[in-house]
Amino acid sequence: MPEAEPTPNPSASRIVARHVAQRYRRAGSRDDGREELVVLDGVDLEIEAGEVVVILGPSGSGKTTLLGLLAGLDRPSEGEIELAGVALAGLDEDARAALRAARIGFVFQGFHLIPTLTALENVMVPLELLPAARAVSRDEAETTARALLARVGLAERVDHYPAQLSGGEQQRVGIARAFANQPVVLFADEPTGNLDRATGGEIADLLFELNRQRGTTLVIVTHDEELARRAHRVVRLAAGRIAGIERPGIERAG
Amino acid sequence: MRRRFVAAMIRRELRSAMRRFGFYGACMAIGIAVVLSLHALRAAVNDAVELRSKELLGADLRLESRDVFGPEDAALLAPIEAQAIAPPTQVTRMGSMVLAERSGRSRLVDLLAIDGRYPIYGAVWTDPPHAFEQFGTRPLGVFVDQSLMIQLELAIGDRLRIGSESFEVVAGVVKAPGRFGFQAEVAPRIFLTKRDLDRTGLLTLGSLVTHLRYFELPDGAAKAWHEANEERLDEARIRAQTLATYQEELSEAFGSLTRYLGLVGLAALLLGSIGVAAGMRVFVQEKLEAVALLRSIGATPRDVVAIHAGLAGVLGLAAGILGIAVCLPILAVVPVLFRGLLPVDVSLTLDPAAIATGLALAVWATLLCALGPILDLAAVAPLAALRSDFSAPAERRRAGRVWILLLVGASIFAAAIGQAGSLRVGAIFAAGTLVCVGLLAASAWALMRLLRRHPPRRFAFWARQGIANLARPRNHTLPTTIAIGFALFVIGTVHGVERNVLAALATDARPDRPNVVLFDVQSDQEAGVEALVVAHGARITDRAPIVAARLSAVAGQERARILADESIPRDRRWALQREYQLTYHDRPRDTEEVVAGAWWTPGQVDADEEPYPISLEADLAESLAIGVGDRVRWQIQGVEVESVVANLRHVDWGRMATNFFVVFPTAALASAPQSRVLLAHLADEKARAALQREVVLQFPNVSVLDATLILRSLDSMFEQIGTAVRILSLFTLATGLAILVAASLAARRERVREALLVRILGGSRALLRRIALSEAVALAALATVVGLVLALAASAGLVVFVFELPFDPPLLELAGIAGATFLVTAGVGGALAVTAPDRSPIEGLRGEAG
Repeated sequence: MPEAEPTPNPSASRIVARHVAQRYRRAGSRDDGREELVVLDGVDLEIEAGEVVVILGPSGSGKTTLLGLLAGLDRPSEGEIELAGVALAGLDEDARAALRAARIGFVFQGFHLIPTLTALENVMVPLELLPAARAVSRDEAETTARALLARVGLAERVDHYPAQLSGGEQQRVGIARAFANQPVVLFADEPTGNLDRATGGEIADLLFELNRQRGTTLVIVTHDEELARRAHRVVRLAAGRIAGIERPGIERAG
Repeated sequence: MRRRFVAAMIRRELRSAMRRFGFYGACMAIGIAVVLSLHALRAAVNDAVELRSKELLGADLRLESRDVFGPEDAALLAPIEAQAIAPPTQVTRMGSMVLAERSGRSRLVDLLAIDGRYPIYGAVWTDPPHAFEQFGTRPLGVFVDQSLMIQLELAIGDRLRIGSESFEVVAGVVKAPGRFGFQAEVAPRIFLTKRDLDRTGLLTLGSLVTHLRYFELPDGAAKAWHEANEERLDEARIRAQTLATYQEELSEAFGSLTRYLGLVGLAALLLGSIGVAAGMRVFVQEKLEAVALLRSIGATPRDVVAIHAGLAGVLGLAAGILGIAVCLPILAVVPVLFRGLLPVDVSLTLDPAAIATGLALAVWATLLCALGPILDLAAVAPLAALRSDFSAPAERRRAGRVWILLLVGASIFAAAIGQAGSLRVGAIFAAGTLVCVGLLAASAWALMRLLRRHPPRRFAFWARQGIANLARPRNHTLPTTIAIGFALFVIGTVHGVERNVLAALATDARPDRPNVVLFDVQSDQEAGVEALVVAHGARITDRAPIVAARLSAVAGQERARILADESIPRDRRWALQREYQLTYHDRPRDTEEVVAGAWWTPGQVDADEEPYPISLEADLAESLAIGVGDRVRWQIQGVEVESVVANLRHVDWGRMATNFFVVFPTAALASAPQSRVLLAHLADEKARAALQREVVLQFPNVSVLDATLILRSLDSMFEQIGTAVRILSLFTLATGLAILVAASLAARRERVREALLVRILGGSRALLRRIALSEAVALAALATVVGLVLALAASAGLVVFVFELPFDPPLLELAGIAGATFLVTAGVGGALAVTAPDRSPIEGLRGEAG
C-alpha cells in the first residue's frame, strides 16, 4: 500500500498555530457532557525553522496538550495548525502518521522504549517506518542505528534490553531513536523529568548538541527553568493561554 | 502497511511473546491434541470399516430370512446365484440353551450351523491356533466363543449338551466375522455343522430360526443385484447386506460414538481458546504503551493490527505444533480406552491432512481470540504516548466488537455442527456451550461488581484483602472462573447423565423384580415349565403369549409401496420392516397407560369379525404416522389379519415386565400359532443356575435368560464408555488448570511488587501467605460452585428432556468431584501465589519498578 507522503516545502521545519483551542468534555459530567473543560484557549504561535522553543508552565497549564496538537497527535477543537509546511486539518489519521514517520521525532519523559526490543532495535524502528521514497535497507538501518547509539555513548550496549539500562541510558536510546529518521522537527516532552539533576544535565547537553549539528527545529515542554534558559524562545503558558514569550538569548544557533 | 517493518516487528516480538505465551499456548495445544486424537480415532474406525468390512461381513453378500429359502425365492435369487464364484455357504442360526456337563452351567447362546465354506473372507481365529481348519472333520465337535468358554467354565475337550445331543468342545473362538466386542459377550456363539444341528432335534417347527446365505461374488455384482431387487427382497422378507450397506450400518453405529467424542474434543478446544483469549487480554494490557509510542512515531493503525495479528498467527501455529506433539502419546492411549468397543483393533496415526487441519484450527482459533484485544490496540491513540490516561473513544472499538462476536459465534456453531455431523445436535451443543460460558462469565462479573461496590468489611485484614483481590485491576477472576467452571461443568454433566442413564437400566430395583426370562415356551409345554420354575423356588411374576407377525399395510397403503419411497424417515422404515411380537390381553396392565382412544370391551370382540381393535405403543404410532381409527393389516404366519387402532398407550419400558408394542384382543389371536414368555423372580444365583440346567435337559427348545448376566455385561460396557469419556473430560480440567497457571504467571510481576509493598509496610510472610491463600480459596470456590450448579442443571435437563428419564442428582459423587476440583484449583492457585520474595523489600521494589 503506498504511503501518502506530504509534498516537500521550503518552510518544511516551520510550525504555525493559529487560534488553537482545545476543550474536553469533563469526565462524569451529568448534563450530557455540555460542561466542558477548556485546556487551551486562543493560542497563536509561530516557530521558525531551526528554532529551539521551550514551552514552560505549571502543571495543568496545557503544555503537553499543546505539544500533542503541534505534533499532530491530536486534533484541536478550534483553530489551525501547520506542521513542517503541511496543514494538519486536511490530513486523515494515516496521512498524519506518515508525516510523523517521515519528518518528526519525539523524546518522552517516560522514555517509552519498547521493552521487548533491544536498544539497537528500538532505534531501528523509525528507520523501518520511513516512507517508500526514503526507504533504507535493513543493513543500512542497522548501520545508522549503531552510529547513533555510538554518538549517544552507548556503542557497547546496543544489544541490551531497556530493563537492563539505567534511566539516563534509556533516555540516550530515546534521543538516538528521535534523531534516527533525520526529523526536521523534534518534540521533547519533559526529556529530563525522570532523571536526577546531573544525568538530566548530560541528557540536555546531548539533545542540544545533536540539534545544533543537524539544524532541527526543537520544541521542548518542561517546567525546568534551567533547561528554558538554553532556548531561543520561551513560551510561558498559564491556564491554557500564552502568558508571555521571552528570548533568553543563550545558546543561539551559531 | 509496511511489510518489512511489520515482519521485523513480528520477529522481534516473538522472542518475548513465546516465553510469556508458553502456558496459554499449552491451553490451546491440549485442545488441539484432543481434537486431533479423536479425529484420528474416527479416521481409523472409518478406515477399518471401509478396508475390513469384507472380513467383518465375511462375504460379498449376506442374505437373511426367517423362512427357509424355498422355491418361491428361486426366481429372485437365480441371477445372483448364477454369478456366484462358488456355491453359497448356508448358515442356520438359532437361539438355544446349552449346558456344560462338567461345570453344570448353562446359558442361552446363538447356534451357528454351517453348511459350506466359512468364512468366505477373513478367518476364524481360535485358541489353540488354526483349529478351525478341522471344522466339519470331527463329528459332534463345536467351536465356542471365548467369552462363553469363560462364562460356562469350559475347557477344550469338555462336553457340551445342546438339545438332545452331547458335543465336544474343539477350540475357543477368539474372533470371527459378524460380531465383535461386547456383542459376543451378550449373545455368545457356538459354531457347529448343519449336519450336527439336525441331530439335536432343536429344529422343530416354531423355533426362532434365521436362515443365512453367504455369497462370493465378482466386484459390484452384489450391489447391482441388491439395488435392482430391493423391493422384491422386501416383499420376500429377505434382508440383504452388501459391503456397501454393511459399511453404512457400521459407520452409523460408530458415528454417534465418534461424533460424541468429537464434541468432547471441541469442548477442550473451546476451553483452550478461552485460555488464549485471556492470555491475549494480558498481552494487550502490556503492549498499550509500546503501541502508543509506535503510533506517535508514525506507525498506522493498520501496521499495529498487522503486527499483532501476525504475532497471534505465529503463536497459534506454535501452539498447533505443540498440540501435535502432545497428541502423539494420546494416540497411543486412546485405542486402549476403546478396546472392545470397536469392530477391529485400531492403531491411530496422524495423516498430513489431519496435521494441516490441526494447525489451521490452532491458527484460526488463536486469531479469533486475539482479534478483540488487537482491535483495542489499533484504537490506541498516539496521544497516549504523552498522556497515559488518554484512551480513544469507546464507540470506535464497539463497532468492531459486534463483528468479532458474530464471527466467534459463527465459528463455534460451524465447528460444532461439523464435529456432530448434525445441524441440530451441533447447534444445541454450541448454544449450550455459549450459554454455559456466558453464565460463568456473568457470575464472575457479578461477583467482581459486588466486591467493588461492597468490599468485605467484617473479615480479618488478610481475608478482606484476599477476597478483594478478586476484583482489583489485572485480576484473573474471569478466565479462571470460566476455565475451571467449564471443566467441572463438562465432567459433572457427563457423570450426572451417566449415573442416571445407568440407574435407569437397572431401574427396576424392587427386591422381587423378575430376573429370569423363559421364552419359546410352546403352548403344550407351559404347565410343565411353570411347574419346574416353581419347584426351584421361583415366583412367576408375569406371563404373556407371543405371536410373530409382520406389517402388511398401514392406513390403506401397502407396506412395500411406502418403503419404495427413499425419503421416508429412518424410524418409519425401521417400524415398517421389523418383525413384531404381538401379544393379546383385554385390560391395560400396570406398566401401560392409555393416552388416546379407549380400550375395547372384551365381550364385544368377535373372533370372526375383522378388523380387530388393537392398542399401539404411542411412539411406534408416531413412527408409523398413524393414530386412533387408522387401519393396519398384519401378516401372521402367512395369514393376513385386518386391525384398527383403538387406542394409543405409553409403556414403562424401564420396568422388567413383558412389554409389547402391539396388543390384540384375546379373541383375535387366541387360536393363532404362538409361544409364551414367562418372567420369574429367583434370588439365589445357584438356584437360577440349577433351573437353567433343568430347563435345558427337559425342554431343550425353551430359552432361559438370566437377566442379571445381561445387565452385568451392559453395565461393564457403559462403564468402559464412561471411563473413556471421563478421561477425555479430564483434559478439559487440565486445560482449565493451565489457564489458571498462565493467568497467575501473567500477573506475577504485579504481585511481586504488591507483596514487596506489604512487606515494606510491615506485613509478615505469614500474612502474605494468608492473603494469597484466601484469594485462591475464594476464586476456587466461585468457579467450583458455579460449575457444579451448571453441571446439575445441564445433566437434569439432558436426563429429563433428552433421555426422558426421571432425574436423581448423584449429589454425593458430584460433591466429591467438585471438592476435588476445588482442592486442586485452590492448591495450584495458592502454590503459584507470590508470598515471600527472597530479595530485600527495598532492593526488590527498585528492581521491579524499572
